[in-house]
Amino acid sequence: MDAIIFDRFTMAFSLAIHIVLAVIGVVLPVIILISEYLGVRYNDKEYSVLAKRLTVAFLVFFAVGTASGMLVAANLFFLWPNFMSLVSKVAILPVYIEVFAFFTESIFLAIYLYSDKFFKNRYIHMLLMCFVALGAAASAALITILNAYMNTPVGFNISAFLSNGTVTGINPLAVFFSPSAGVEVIHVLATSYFAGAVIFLAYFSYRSLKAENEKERRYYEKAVRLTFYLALIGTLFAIITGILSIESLYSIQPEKFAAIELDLNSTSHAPEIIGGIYANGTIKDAIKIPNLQSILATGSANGVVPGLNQYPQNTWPPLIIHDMFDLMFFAGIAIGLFLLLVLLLSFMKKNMFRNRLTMKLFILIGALGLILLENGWMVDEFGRQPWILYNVMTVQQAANTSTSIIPIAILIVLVYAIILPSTFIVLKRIFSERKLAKELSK
Amino acid sequence: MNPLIFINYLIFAIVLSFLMLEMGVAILSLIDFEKYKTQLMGYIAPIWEITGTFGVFYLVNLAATYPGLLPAVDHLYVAPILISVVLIIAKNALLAFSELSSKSSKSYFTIYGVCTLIVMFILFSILTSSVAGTSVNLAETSINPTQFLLNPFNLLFFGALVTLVSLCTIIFFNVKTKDVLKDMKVMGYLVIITLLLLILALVAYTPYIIVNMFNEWYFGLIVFLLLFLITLSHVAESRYSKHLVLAFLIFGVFSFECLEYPTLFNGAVNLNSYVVQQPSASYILLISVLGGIFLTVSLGIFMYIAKKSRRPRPNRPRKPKQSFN
Repeated sequence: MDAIIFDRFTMAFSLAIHIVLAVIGVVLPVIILISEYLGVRYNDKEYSVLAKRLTVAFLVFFAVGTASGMLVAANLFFLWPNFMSLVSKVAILPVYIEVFAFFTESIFLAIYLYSDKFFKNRYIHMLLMCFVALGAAASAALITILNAYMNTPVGFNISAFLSNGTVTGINPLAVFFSPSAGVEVIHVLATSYFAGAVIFLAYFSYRSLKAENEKERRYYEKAVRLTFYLALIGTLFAIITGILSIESLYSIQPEKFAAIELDLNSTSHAPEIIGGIYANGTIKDAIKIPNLQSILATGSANGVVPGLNQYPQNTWPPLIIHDMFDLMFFAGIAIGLFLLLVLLLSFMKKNMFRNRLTMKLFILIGALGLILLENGWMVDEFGRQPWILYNVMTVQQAANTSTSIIPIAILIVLVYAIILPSTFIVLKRIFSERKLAKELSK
Repeated sequence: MNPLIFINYLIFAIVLSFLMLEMGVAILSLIDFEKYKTQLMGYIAPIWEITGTFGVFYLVNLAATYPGLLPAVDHLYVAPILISVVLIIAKNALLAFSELSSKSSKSYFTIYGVCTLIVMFILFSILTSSVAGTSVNLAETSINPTQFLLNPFNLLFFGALVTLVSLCTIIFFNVKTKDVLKDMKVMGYLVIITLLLLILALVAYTPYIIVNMFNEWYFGLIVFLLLFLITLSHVAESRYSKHLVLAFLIFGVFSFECLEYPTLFNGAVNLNSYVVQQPSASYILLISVLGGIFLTVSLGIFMYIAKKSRRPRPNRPRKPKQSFN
């Protein structure tokens, strides 16, 4: 059996799970911070209890997320040794600094937990969670910088490397300023806050529907409100930064742009292609809006867009990314519009956050947000294929081809299959020992 | 010594010292969890995340410091490292669950203890394999799995580790009986057995380290001085025992690395030829130093707050409220 298939599958599986844990790790400190602030500022019991209970959940998710991160890091080193060998020489700094961002997060989380009754001024206690949130965001940004580097590598003599394998002309700081770094970091942060917020919005909406008494309903209503506003802000930023991302692709990764837009030929007056599939050299079953793609990409209908036929077919990414991108775009817009509608109605009507239909739709949005999160990363990763380092090293060249990796790959999948359900079982057990009614009545 | 190698050695010494203390926690918890529960949880609960993070710090520093060694290390140790990572995940998760769940605390902690011992055995086997080169075929970048785990050098050295960890655990967690002489005897036996196993292993498999011990005798002198001080502090019930144990472990591991410097695999590989070159070297050194300072300060703040929050606050008399009539 081809070891590269196992390498790909193991990496994809690990990342698909880790990204959810990472997103929770990024958004949860912000939710805790806001709820603690509201609890202290307005002497609000429900928000204070929310902050405490979410801190317990965060500790569990943080432990599992750390473990998952270690597994992903180990995967990178062992499944793609040639890639990591090159990265260690030319682009290791973001990975190295990320360790300290992670230290910031873990140490300040530990200080936050142990200093609950230490500070008279609760705002100082809150400041500790600020550091946790900043550490989490910095970790996400630094790892994204490495991912951006994979899309647009710079900082060493690439032609010398391609001709004789030598690594020369190294500029170790160039990785921070690769052409796609800035836009990818802001888009990843925005979508992380969006996805994390909708996940918790869905969870609190579900709990709100299951609430047994008025005290619990009030508690969950506040949790829903908090995560709703965070989700709304996250959605708006995700859409704006998403548009900036696709615009930047046009200039810095035209082949990927062409694959996402399903443009076979470079042309002006290019139509926007919605849906459709590529088959036998043509595009079928697509909706085409005349001139729109040229206008969106260049500002003018005369603008020229790149085409896939400019590139060798063996370097085309899987064209399924076109439909995945369309799903991401339209579903993202739909979610944004729905959240805006809820906001408008909540100003006009009495209380949208007690409406059962709204809660059920929030649950659907949570599930959709999770799908969009995975979908977005798949567009990014599939869109770079067959390269691991664009135009420098293919996935094949980077991979560990020893078949001894196969049992290890199976072990890693088994670990995730055990640890994830166990996490939820343990969380359930922990919260069954900490009854909400008891904490609200203290 | 190359400053990057110095920093790499220091980080490794810190990581291994914390792991050895965790091993001590595992041993005590398996002996009698209920008796030592409070002491063990009081230590491990705040520390375990930091130990894991230091471990990741070391791995990333290793990759940054010796990028040329990565492919060889990847091919040689992929299986034991990944198995260790899986077990570390399991043990950390169980520890977190044990901390948060009062009902199943003991069973989680027991499994945590077993996982910790297995992880230490595997990680230590990697260490001894890289020191002595036993079971390693550098030409084919492969290891013999059975020989990797069960070679005499590894077993002797691990035996020395177990006795050393037991000694440090007794002092660190203040494990005492009422019979002072008996306690001293046990500690004395542990010291003698540790030295015997260590010297036997090194003489038989890495005699160059023994030669270096004679040439750089001051390392040994400082280690024995620290050993004497921690024994004294344990008998005298000094509040500095814990700090001295940590200093002893860190210095002990660091001095062993210095005696091995600059080679690996029983002299077959010279580390200096794999160290990262300029301009990356300057940035890695700068980040390591600044990051290390930040880490030390943050950990200091954390330990201070953790210690203060465990002490019961004295009941201070309330000031009478002033009347504004």
